[in-house]
Amino acid sequence: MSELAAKGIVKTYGTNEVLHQVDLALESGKIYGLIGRNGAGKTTLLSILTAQNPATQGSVTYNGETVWENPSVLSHLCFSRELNPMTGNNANPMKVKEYLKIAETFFPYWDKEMAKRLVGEFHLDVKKRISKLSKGMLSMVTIIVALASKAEFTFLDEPVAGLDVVARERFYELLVEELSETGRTFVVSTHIIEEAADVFEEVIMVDQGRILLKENTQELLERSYHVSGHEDEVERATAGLERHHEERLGRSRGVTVLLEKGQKLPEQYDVSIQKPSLQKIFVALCGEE
Amino acid sequence: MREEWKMQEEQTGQMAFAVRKSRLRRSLCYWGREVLVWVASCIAVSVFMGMLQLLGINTYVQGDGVTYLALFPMYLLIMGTLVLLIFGITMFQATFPVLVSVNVTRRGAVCGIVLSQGAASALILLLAGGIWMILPESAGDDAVRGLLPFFTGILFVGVTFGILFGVVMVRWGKLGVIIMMIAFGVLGGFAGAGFAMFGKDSLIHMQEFLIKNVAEKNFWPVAAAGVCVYAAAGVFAVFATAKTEVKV
Repeated sequence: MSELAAKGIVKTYGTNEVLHQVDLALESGKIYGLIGRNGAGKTTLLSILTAQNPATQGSVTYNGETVWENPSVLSHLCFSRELNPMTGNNANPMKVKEYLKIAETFFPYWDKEMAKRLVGEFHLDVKKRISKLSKGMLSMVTIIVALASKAEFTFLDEPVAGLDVVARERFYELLVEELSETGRTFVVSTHIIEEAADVFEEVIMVDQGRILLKENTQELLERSYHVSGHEDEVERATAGLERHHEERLGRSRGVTVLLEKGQKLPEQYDVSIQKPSLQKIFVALCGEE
Repeated sequence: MREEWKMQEEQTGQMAFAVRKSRLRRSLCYWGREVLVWVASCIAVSVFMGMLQLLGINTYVQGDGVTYLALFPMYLLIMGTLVLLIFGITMFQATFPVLVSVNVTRRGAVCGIVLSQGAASALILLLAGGIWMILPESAGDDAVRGLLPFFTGILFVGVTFGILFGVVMVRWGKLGVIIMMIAFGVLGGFAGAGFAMFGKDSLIHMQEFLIKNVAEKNFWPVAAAGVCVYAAAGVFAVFATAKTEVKV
């Protein structure tokens, strides 16, 4: 069982600290969902975990070995993100097939047949220049590289942005198939939380450069409740509990609560108790300004 | 049980060795392809420039292919310098981030670019020297003895500029672009002034001048200096890009 671990990761750009003492351990054979608001630090974290970006402080290790500039460790990792149509001030002159050829050359476990199959399935024109691709096609390239790399730890940064709903569903199917066949680890950052929630075994929430929580998705959903009703009843029902994202409408009130181990919601109060979705939990935890 | 663990460790070690060997082979194939593409591009540009020059020098071309053959190495060396300079910048700007994004180390990517530029330069020099050697006239020997070391130095300095400009753009982004634009403006100004002063026969006059006045001098120090600045630029490139963030 392999482990990719980040310890004490700090990243600053000038005087702006975008990641604050981030500790994270990823185990093999899981699909992690990485969710957070825009600017929370998701992409920065993923790029540091895969040595695309140097951390200001801290270290990233794979089974105890440093990841940074270590070719033997890097061969187990893949960070696939949406390609930039521009290089510097010019349009990216590279064609899709050239990019896939470079990926095939340098990813040691590259599955050429799988890449070819996915190119056909997504109807991707490999002779097109990257600068001429639509947002959806750029996402397809991201997905093809991630899946065909066959890297043990594969990170995808917003892979479904720009994809239509059919393509998104197909992506989730491919992800689960790949997990069951190979036991690879995937870390997928996305803003489309509800669709992907069923696929994530664990969810990692990033907020303002910190890891807010890292938890089994099912367990998180089981301990989360949305309590609503008259404000006095809600106040009594949720007394002593961790309350998030309070909503008020006249004398009605609604809050999201996350129960700790051993805690229970009292049943004697006249309140409505519902199970919130993962998206609602995320908004409750990260939505406060 | 211990034997099973031992076997597993051996298998893992063998796999790691196989992966390393495969990575080296694939890297060599990739860079080898790049070198051949660059050299072919230099030859193609040189042939094109030579044909243009040929069409303009009616008094020299009277079914005499030897004259064109004598000029071709000059075109190859001059165009080769320019083409490799441009390729060097492009490699750093476009290819370096892609290589790092597919898990090539920064050091590996920079060494690949620098060494393959050196290999391409060596191939061009071999080709130019080879053509001069097969010339029937004694001028061929003089050219090889005198001009080749001189142009070795020039070619490697040109490649050095490509590496330095490329690294500056990777490291300093837009500021690097501004620096490069100013530098090219200055260089372009000198080249334009030269052609304006000496006219369309400038290349022939230049070769005659070099053969008559330069070829007998010892320009091996120029060659050595060119190779040294190229090597120094390579080392600088490795250190300057050691902690670069890449975004593909």
